[in-house]
Amino acid sequence: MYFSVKVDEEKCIGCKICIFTCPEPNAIMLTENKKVCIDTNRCKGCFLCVSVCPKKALERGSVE
Amino acid sequence: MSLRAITPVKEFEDILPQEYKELVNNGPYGKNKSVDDLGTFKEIIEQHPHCAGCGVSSGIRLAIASLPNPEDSIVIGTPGCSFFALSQSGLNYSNTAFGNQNSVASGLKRMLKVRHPDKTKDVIVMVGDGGIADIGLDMTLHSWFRRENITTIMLDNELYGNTGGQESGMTRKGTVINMAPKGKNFEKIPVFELAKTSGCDYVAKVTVASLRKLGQAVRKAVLVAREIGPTYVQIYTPCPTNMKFPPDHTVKIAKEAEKDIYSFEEYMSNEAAEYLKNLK
Amino acid sequence: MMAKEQCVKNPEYIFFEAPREKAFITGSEAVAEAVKRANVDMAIAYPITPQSESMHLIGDLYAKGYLKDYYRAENEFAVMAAIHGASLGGGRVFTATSGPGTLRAMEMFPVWAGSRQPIVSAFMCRGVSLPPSIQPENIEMAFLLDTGMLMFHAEDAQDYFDMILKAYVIAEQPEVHLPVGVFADGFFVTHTRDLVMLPPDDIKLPEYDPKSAPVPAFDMETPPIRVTRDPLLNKSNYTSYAANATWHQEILAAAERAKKHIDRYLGGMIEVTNPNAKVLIAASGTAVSQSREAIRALEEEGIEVGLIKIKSIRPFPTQEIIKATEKADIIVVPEFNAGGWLCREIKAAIDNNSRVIEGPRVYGGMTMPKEIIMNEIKKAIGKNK
Repeated sequence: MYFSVKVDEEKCIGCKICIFTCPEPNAIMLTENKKVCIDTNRCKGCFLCVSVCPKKALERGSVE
Repeated sequence: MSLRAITPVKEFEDILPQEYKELVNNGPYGKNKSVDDLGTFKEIIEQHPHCAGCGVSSGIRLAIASLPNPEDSIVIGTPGCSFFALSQSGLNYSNTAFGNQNSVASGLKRMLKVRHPDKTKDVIVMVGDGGIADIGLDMTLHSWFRRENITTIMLDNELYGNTGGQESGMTRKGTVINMAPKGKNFEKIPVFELAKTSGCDYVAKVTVASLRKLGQAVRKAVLVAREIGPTYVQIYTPCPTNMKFPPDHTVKIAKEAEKDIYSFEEYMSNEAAEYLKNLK
Repeated sequence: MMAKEQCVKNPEYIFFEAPREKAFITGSEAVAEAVKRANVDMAIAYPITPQSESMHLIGDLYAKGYLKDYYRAENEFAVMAAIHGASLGGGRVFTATSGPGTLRAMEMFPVWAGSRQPIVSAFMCRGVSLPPSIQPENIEMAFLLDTGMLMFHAEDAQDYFDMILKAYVIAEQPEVHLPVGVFADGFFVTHTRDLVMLPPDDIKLPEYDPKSAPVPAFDMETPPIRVTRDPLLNKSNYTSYAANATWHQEILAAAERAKKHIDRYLGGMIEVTNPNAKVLIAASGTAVSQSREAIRALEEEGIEVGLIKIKSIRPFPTQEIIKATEKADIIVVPEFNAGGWLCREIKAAIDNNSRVIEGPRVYGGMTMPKEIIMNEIKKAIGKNK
């Protein structure tokens, strides 16, 4: 089990601030419907994205 | 670099790693991407072993995404934390003996000019504060005095990170840290001012909290270095591990610094300003 | 005065067939004559006695158009680092230093070798501090023995000219690709005039082809697009360590593979005169010249002495020296340094090394007149002065 982040697609407005802030390359990508998608394999669970999201669309979580 | 250099033959395509295929098909080579495009293309840095929340890795990621021509960029680094991410990138990266990155870059840039006089070859130094302000200071300054056409980028976490968090020349006065048990007793080295005095044609000071300013500063620095003279960008890249703050506070700490010592500053010579204006 | 038009000739022609004419020149000038014909792209300089004059002359070559770039850097570490960078870019480079300059640049020599760069650097040996001395001494060679660089030791200006030119051809063999240090004892070689046979200066070596390198150039043109030139593996795991170790083994193996090229171009790693003599002198550099004088004088006194001139220090001609010393009862090793590094190398190579006489050793600016070599030999064979 390790830390990761969950995206609430309803709240996400596709502003990409999380993408800009994430220190891991290619970890958060913008999908075709302009929502963000997190690659849990690349996520190190620092939660910087959670701290900067203006819509609170990102939530700390874990992955089994 | 012609894309032929990295495009696999059809017969081998199916056995290459997914990341490599994405790099060829959706990478930034020749496509003039910038920080604004992040999230929509395959970045040329792959997974790196930096700590969660690492400011240095943020700085590197944003700087590399701002390179105007990654397909013709060569990065020179030196031991520290930074080289762990830089060595994971899809461009020629050379490590060096600690601190002599600006000498290596000088020799390389000149030889590339000799061997490829009609091609753009950007040589960019990306190094931590220890490598530039301490052990490599004389070689950094001399590359500026000689007016080498290279871009120097300092990833400033104000300490030696990879060796366990020791005082560096860029640590703020009074900070208590390894090797400064009574607090650092001299001021942060004014490398930004030294760059201006040494004749750099474009000099900027930014943090990882202002990504667009960072992106534009790196882009301008690389462009000006092509034709006008040496350039320098100093990026504040806080270190959660050695400064002992939670990894999700990195941006906050950087923003705090923007209120005083890391407020945005940009300087360019008249020739650099003219050159950038004409490029638009 | 602009550069002459030079014709590219193959190395064999330049070294062995081209007609040569006499020139009465200093060792410093001989260095410049070699670089002039070597089709060098770039040289980087820094002042230190006694190599400055050579590098001035290289600068003049650049001003005339024989080199495409040249500059003075801020210290020897910076010079050797920039030479590393320039070689990464895929071109042919040259530099020189001496004594304290060599030590200042020390970190770069294993970097060059580990990067498999065919750099040629001249070393005009002098004393290192403390006490400070600018006089001829080659203790710096001892410090370089395990850097992975190839090392040739020139006896005189003729050697210096030939070895520098040939060093490029040996270094740039795809199976070698190692840096070469070409050493000469400073002042004795650099600042005295000597007869040197030079091929015409309107010919030059073919240019360096970086595609022949075992590791690609750093120009974003040569696939694969990769990190540095060695495996940058700082991870703490077996694979990292094994990769690092095998890379080291490859550097050592490359020096072994250089032997056949050294034999071909330098005419052997050693030169032996009078191999059947019971007393031999084994020496390198200007100690060889002094030994020749001692041998000539001893011959007049009826004492027969042979000579082993050692030209290649790395790779060390172990088998050749074992063979050459088979019949000898006494092997005298005169050296211009206090450490006795050449003596150690020889003693480690041969059987029954109690046959080796350690010295005479000269340093600090003192000279090595033939008499002190003669006395050492007479003492060893039991004759009185």
